[in-house]
Formats: sequence, C-alpha cells, structure tokens
Amino acid sequence: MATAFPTGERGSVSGVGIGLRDPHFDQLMTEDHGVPWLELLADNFLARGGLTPRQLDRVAQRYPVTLHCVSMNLGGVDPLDKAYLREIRRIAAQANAAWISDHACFTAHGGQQYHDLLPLPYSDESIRHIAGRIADVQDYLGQRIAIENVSAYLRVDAPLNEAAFLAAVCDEADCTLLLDVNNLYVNQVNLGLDARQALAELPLDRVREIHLAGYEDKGDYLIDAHNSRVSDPVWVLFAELIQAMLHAPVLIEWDKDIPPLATLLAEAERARAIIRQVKEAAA
Amino acid sequence: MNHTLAQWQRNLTRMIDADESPQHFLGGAMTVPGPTVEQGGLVYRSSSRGARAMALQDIYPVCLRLLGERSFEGLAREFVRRQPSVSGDLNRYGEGFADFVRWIVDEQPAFAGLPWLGDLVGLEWLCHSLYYRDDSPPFDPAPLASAGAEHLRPCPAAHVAWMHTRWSVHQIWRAHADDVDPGELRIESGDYWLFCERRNYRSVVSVIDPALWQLLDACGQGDTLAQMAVQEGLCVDRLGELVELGWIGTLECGSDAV
Ligand SMILES: [Fe+2]
Repeated sequence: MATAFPTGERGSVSGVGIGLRDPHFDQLMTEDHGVPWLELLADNFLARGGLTPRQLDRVAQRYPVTLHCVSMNLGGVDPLDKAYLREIRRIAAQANAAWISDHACFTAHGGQQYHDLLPLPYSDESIRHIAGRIADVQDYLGQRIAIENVSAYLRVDAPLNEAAFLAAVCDEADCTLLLDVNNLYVNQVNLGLDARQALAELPLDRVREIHLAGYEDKGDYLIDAHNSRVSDPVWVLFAELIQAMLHAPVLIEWDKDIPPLATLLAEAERARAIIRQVKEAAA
Repeated sequence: MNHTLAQWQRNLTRMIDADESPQHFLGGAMTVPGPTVEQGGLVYRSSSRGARAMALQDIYPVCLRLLGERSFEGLAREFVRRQPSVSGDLNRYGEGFADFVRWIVDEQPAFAGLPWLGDLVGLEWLCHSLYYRDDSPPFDPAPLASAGAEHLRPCPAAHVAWMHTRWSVHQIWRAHADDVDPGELRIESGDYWLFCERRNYRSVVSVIDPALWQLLDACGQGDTLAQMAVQEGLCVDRLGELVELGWIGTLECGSDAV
C-alpha cells in the first residue's frame, strides 16, 4: 500500500514561474520582475561548500521554489543512488521546496551515467519497475514526487502508449505528474503519439505542474532542445489542457542559448494571458 | 521483438558508447513517423556525449581558449569516447583529462610544441574542483592536548590544493582569469610549487616557498607528526604557519600505520 505523506509543511507555489538559470541569477535576486516562483535544477546545487549553499539560501529567502532533478534514474535497472537522494533531501529541506520532480526515464546503466533522459519501453514490466522505485524514493524523501513525461526519439516495440504508461505509473506509485506539454507535442511528431488523445487519457487530477519549453525543428523530427520560444502548436495544446486545470502551476523552461531574462518573462506573460483568456471564456 | 527492460537499457547504452551504426544495437526500436532508428539513435549518442563534452568546456576554459574551439572539441570528443561518466554530477566529470592530454601531447606530433599543456589542464582541474569542495570547519587544536605526535595527522583544509610543475602554467591561468589573452604569454620552464585556494568563493593560484609546499604535501599524504619529524629536510617547525594561513583543516587522531 502506498505511504500517506504529510502535506502543508513545505512551501507552496502558484502561477507561472521560470526555471532559474545562472545568467539570470543576479537580476532575479536584486530586482522584482513579478516572478511568483522558481524551479531549481537540483543537480546545480549539489555542492555542500563554497558559494553554492549560500546561493541556495538567497534564492529560497526570496522565492518559493520547486526542485527538479535529472539523476534519480527512476526507470533504471541499476540500484537507486542513495547518496544522490540524500543530497536531494538535504537541498529540498534547505530550500523549503514545495515539491521534488524527476523524469519517467533512465539516465544510468552499468554504473555509468549518460546525462540524458533515455526512454523506457511502455510495457507492464517498466510500469512495475519504475513505480516500485518511485515508491521507494518517496518513502526515502518522505513526500510524494512528481514524474515528468519525456521527449523521445526512439520507440521500443511495446504494447502501451505513453499516456496509458504514465497513468499506470502514477496510479501504482501514487505519485503526481509533471506534465510537459512540449514533450507531448514532440512525441506526437517523433513517435506518432496523438497529444490531444494523450490529454484525454492522462490522469489530469494528478498534474502538479505544467512545463512549457521550445523545441528545435530538424525537418524529419523535433528535438526537445529547450533553446527557443514555446511553439504555436504547444501554446494551442496548453490552452486546451488548462481548461481542465486553471490553477496548476506553470513553468517556462529554457536551458540552452539562454536569452535575456526579458524573453523568459515575456513567455511567462504569454502563458498568463492564455490562462486569463481561458478563465474569461469559462466564466 | 519485445525487449525486456534490462535488455533495452543495455542495448541503448551500448549504442551510445559505440561508434557503429545505431541500427546494429537497436533492432527492436521503431520510429513512426519521425526520425529513423539511425537518426533517433544518433540523437541520443550525440546528446549524451555532448553533455560530457560541454562539461569539459566549462571546466577547462583556458585550454579551450588556447587551443581554439575546433582543436579543443577534437580532444574533448576523443576523451568522452574513452571515458565514461560515473557521477550524476557533471562537475565531477573530466578529472582524467590532464593525463589524457599528456598522453596526446606525447603521441601526436601536432601537440609536440605544447609539452606544458597537460599541467595547465591539471591546474584547471584543481581550480575547478576547489570551487565545489566542502567548507572546512574552524581549526580545532584540542587533539594536541590528548594525543601524542605518533597519532596526530594534520590534514589540509578542503579548500586548498597544490601541484608541482616544470612550466609557468600558473601565469597562463592567471592571465585568463584577468581576461588577458593567454596566447600572448611565453611559457617559462623551471620548478614551480603551486598553491591553489578557494578565497571569497573564487580560486586563486600562487607560487609558494618549496619548503612550505613540501610540508603541505606531507600533510596531504596523511603523515603523522612523528613521521614528519624524522623526514629529512622537512621543516615541521613551520606547521604553525600552515595553521595560521588556514591551510590545515583538522588534526586527526589515529595510529601511524598508514
Ligand atoms: Fe520539462
């Protein structure tokens, strides 16, 4: 049986936030840009000494934050990395993170780290495996975590589609979902998965956070590059999604070729405008 | 073909590590309608290797600046191909790059004019790794009162490092830190006893007195005070100086059977 975790102790976030990246650090720490919350890449805050823990304190004093991880290797067959999880627990406590998230994928194998979000077969075996590990991680961290859907460039011959796979994982692990709308769209183009159909099949009541990011168009396929503005088809999907969840926290992600802060703020403002429009239409 | 989870992970990671066509490893993968299996496999291969190569660029900016992007990328690509990453923290990747560069310098005629390059890379690694080290607790002399010299080991503080080189690579490193083009500098040969320290959250490199360097190095080897006292030429009487400079972090107690 899934563990019941306490709620209400940690910080909370709402509205449209942005992912904190190095080039924007000073601006965000010294100026008020109306950013309601920040998502921190946990792997950038692993150092226990020097400047890093001080920066973490500064951020946490000024903003509500969430913690986004890339190295839990939740879908991997290697043993869980307890040392990494210990650091994540420490960082989350120090920053009073509202929640912790990682991806529905594997990132390490045979003791080697691949620093990429590698896809899993959408199979019953994968569901049982990753759900069991998510449950173990949640027990260790003492809280429910959010699992993000990833972009993929290969699909293994397996019986389920992505949405059914994620729904089963969330159900079996009793975790929440970090729904990346860009990744849904990338997989529609790359793997022929119907993103709109996915929205109908996913457990939207479990969505704790929505990600928006830009892809890179390679002609035959898309790369989840996080190096550009959110694309029009993704904005359209986003507008459809939030009809079902007007109050879900939304995050703008940008990881490569990082633009001036103003560009991210403009993307966040566009997301807010869409939410306002949907709200008005609903009223 | 139905893959088991473990088989799939083995195949995909082997493909990333290999140089052959992805098709060779990914027989059961399908891609409809997007990238071919070949393209999809190459996306993962280049993304995984690219993340590691990018880490090297971040860790070794002086080497990158001196060699230029193309030449550095070639070195990084070859290192990444040979050297897996064993930590999720990319800041820990690339420790062996200095030895790899020394080997390349020995092997490749194109690098023959840069015999000091490996030492420069080694210095960059020290400065990089210092940035992420733990903070040292304030020095506590209490063990001096309760343990004998044969049990006491003065341990260097976490925020310091040291190296010896026969080239003035520290001048190049400093020029880069001061945003002066290091390519303008002439490398001198000699004996340089380098000391690196994290000060105000930044790495600082200086040349220190060889006697002090050797004493610090003896501490780093885990020698006890008693062992140091009988080492010829080692000026143990200057230990207090190391403590005052903040270079000694702790006095550890234990037997002298290292
Ligand atoms: Fe995302």
